[in-house]
Amino acid sequence: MGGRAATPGNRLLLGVAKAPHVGKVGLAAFAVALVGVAGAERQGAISFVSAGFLAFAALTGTLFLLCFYDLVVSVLELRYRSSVTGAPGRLRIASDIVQEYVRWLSPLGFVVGIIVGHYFWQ
Amino acid sequence: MATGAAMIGVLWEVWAATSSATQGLCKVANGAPFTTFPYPSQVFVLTAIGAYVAGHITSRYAVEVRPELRAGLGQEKFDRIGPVLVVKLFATGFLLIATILNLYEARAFATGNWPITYYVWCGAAASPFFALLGAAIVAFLIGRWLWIPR
Repeated sequence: MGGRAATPGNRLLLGVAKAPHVGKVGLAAFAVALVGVAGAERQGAISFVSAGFLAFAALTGTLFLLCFYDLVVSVLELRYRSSVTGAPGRLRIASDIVQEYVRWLSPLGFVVGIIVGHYFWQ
Repeated sequence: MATGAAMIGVLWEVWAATSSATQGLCKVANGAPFTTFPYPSQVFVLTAIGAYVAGHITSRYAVEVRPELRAGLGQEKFDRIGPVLVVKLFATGFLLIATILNLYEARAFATGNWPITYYVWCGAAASPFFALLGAAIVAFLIGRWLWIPR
């Protein structure tokens, strides 16, 4: 199996799975998109309502790209076992404090999101 | 999470609006959407939150009966790669659809076309009880499936 790491597919997996700053790049891209939308709204290029939906689109679009990245790496791992490629275990939460936040992420996200979304929508 | 709830609610209420439009309940006066409801809009919000909490409470019972449900995706009972990939595929597809809908909505408001928001308002005005019921059911299922006690 060790020889397979030299194939193009394995090299691609190694390169993709060892990119440690994908999440940070996603956050930066999201921040840039928000600044761009806010700037366009302040200059009168788009309405406040359109800007709000564009901001949501930037959020879901960033999450989509991150999920797509994760999906691609998972499929490649399935094809070229991670033990061969040395891909790190992803989406593991080691910190107890962070895990405590994650427990409350769903209810907080739902309640805050539905209230904020309601007032924006109205 | 909220985006997911909103999107499913939108789909439900678009259906209600579409079926009610043929009865003339959804006419637009001077280009403005029909926005008067028999209930205050806060009723929808509070109902959704209540149903969400109810869904969580029922999931507590489910977890007591089947404690293996506490395991996270990719761990213990759910460590097989097949289901993990399916869940990731659904999440990716859902986020893609949510992005497209948000872009459509922003463009509709910018160009003056009817956005999905107006269809939702129209559907809620035409069938307020069913809109409320639909919002409650969706919120209940989200609380049941996505707020599992750990």
